Amino acid sequence: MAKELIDDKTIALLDGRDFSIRSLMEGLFGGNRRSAYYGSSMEFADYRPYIPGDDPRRIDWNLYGRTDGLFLKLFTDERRQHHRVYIDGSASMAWGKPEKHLTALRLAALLGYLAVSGSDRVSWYALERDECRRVTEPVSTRESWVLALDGLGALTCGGDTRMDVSVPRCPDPGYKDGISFLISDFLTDRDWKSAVDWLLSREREVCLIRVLSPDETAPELRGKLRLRDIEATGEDDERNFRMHIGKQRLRAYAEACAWLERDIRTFCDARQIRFFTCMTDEPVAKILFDGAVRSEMVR
Amino acid sequence: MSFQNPAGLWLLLGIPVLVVIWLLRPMNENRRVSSSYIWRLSERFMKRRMPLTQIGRWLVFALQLLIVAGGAFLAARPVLAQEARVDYFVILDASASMRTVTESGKTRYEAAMEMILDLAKETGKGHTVTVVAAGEEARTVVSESSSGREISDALAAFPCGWGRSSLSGAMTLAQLFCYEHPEAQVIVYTDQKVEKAENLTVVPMDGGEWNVSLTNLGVTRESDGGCTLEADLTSWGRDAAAAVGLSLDGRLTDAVNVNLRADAPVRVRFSVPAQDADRILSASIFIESEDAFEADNELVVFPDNERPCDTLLVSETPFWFENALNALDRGQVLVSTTQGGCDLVILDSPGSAQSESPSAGAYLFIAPDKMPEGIEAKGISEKTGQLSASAADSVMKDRLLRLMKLGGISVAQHTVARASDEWTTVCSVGSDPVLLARTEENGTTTAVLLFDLHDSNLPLTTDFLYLIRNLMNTAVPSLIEKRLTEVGSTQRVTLSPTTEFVRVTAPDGSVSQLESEEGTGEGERTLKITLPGVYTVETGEEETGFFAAVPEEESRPQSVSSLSLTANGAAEEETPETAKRGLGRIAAAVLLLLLLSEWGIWLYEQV
Repeated sequence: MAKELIDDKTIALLDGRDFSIRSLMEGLFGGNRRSAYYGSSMEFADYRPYIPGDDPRRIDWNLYGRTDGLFLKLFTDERRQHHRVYIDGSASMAWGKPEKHLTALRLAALLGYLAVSGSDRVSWYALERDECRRVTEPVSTRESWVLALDGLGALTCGGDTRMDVSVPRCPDPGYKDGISFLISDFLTDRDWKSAVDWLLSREREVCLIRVLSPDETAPELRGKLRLRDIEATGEDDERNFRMHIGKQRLRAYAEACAWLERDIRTFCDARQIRFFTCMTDEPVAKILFDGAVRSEMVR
Repeated sequence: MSFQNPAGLWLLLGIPVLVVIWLLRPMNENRRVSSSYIWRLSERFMKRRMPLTQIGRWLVFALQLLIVAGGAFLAARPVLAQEARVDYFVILDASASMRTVTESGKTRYEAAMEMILDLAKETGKGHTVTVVAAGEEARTVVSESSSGREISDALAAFPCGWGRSSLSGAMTLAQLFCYEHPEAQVIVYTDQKVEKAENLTVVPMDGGEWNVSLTNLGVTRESDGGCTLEADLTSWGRDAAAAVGLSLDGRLTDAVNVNLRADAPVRVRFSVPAQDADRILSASIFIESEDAFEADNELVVFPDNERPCDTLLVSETPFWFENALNALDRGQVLVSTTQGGCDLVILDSPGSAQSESPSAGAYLFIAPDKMPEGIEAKGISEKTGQLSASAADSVMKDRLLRLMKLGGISVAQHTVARASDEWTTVCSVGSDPVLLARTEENGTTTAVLLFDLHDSNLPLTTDFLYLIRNLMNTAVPSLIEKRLTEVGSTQRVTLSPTTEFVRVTAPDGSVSQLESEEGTGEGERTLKITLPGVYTVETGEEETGFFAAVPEEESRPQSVSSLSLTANGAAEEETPETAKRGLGRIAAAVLLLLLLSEWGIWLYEQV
């Protein structure tokens, strides 16, 4: 299953890549990420006046020679961050060839690899209906990452996911300690925006990845149809309806797609959320370099 | 608005068919999609782009309904009333029944004339009126006139007739008129009931006026020398009581009150005693009632004014003939075994045969051994059969069988013969002709009886007397052919060799001389009967009279007539086949438009 998700060639492309983190997080001890704390790293951070009780060995004597004052030299602290990847497990993610779900899992695996490569921890969560289920224990090494791929590959899709309910139910959402990735097709009229705002409220950076299949952006439907939503709960579900699809309707559909894309992007820009859309027929490497890098999610 | 081809409206049945087709169209195909969210979202862009698209399919349906309805409308070829010039073609019924007096005191004819004059006044500038009077024959009273005065004068100068109506002849003129004036409107003023009046307007003039009439006068000679006069008395339209009287030479001799049921004729009879029957000059049956149409309230009969007829009887057993001829008392009877020059020659001898060309007025051969030219004997039939009149109509049959009933006359044996076309079959037994007659080139009549009188009971019946009498009348015709005739018919007047003039006094008192005409014999004159009433004919040697009645059908509500007219000349040549073809073309065009509308919508949505 792990090989279905990712291969060595793709992993090789990730060497030298890392997440682009804009703000200073807190995190746990023992990592490589600059944090908001002063610590014992080699990277100079600031000066502050000496006060009695400070360690005299930390006094910058060169500065004392120039200023005739006692100042301590401060260095940044480096912490380990905990990234969380939320994967939409709704039935609509099982659509497309290959399935959007498979693309989402590949991306989730790659994001996990980038995390452990940067000495960070990563957790995957499946959003299933109203629940947020942790897929595996947090992973912090490449070995454990490989083992976690099996659990990731075993994820299935089904039902109607309500992100505004399921995301806040995350058992370990974290606080100001990493990036929250949300992978979905966002083809829902549920209030997914409140879920994103909730993640932002955890003082974590948020990245949205939208996965679509080609037939969702350019459907090949024609004629008098009764459209049945794959997530509909029954025949009478309002998401099932009759429609005559012709040229005008397809144009309107394209406009609606563009409008939805703009709407998501506008939402994300207002909150400094990084966002990109990928297609299931695109190679994962292309998604990474065209989508993730261009959106400054990865550097 | 009217329709020239109402059958085209059957295309409207396409509308329910179309509705059924739409109802039975394939239901929406089920298609699963990952999410219908964007499709729902597209609604707002659809509305913004083209609101009508939301009802696009219904527009197609409405368009198709319009196409079907329009096709049916076109196929029915509507005719809209136009303000343009209108040429009115008016047919005025001028038959005798139009003389019926209405409640307003005017006759139907006068009322119709007033309506025509009103029409002439109402027609605006540029409109024309043509009036054709449908009397005994259709005659144009005024042609394409816009002048009310001209129309009024022409109508006033054209009186109503006393005969039948030739509406069909007038319709022929109307048809010709419509060839030249496709937009013409045809209006018929008549008291006839018209069953179907396509493309023309019929103005009924029958106001249900009450009329009682006398028809079917019959005169029967009784054995005592007297006679019986009888006629049908009918009250048309309602139950009524009527007083009927008998007048002999202008003197009322009998009268009776009769209760009548509507439209049910009652036969009234009057007996004339023998002493009166021999001496009266005329007898009249009349109605004492004030009905709306008086011309049919009297029937007058004149006694037969038969001329003397000398008869030569060539027979070995002349008993029956002598008795019959003496009873008729029409002239000298000579019994001989040889032929001679008399008015009527009867050859009843087995060995007798016509030895020379007939010179008398009529010949009767009875069971001749040698058949006259044109008759070929085939044998003897010993099968007993009933004597019956020939089914074919002919003047000869009418003359020879006048007043004969031919009931219960059997023939035990007759000669089977085949006659050429010159001979007219008068009577037959079964399918074999037994009484044949023909008119010779010199005007004489030859009759051949193909059975012996001993083989039949004919001589024992009164029909035998009538047969001899009819032969005498054929040999020596009366001055006038018919004692009772009707308006519109022709009376034939037969002159004797010494007649110098023929003077006729009509019922209105006018006197006229009858002159010889082309196409009639030297000794014949014809008189066209135009008025009802008593006519008197004088020749200097003879004087007689006859009565002309109005045609029987003029007395009663008219039988239903069927009139039709094609409105314009272009459509005249249209046959049912071409009409079907035209309808088929329109149906095909409708179908094509339906397909085109479907295809157009499909193309619009796909491209």
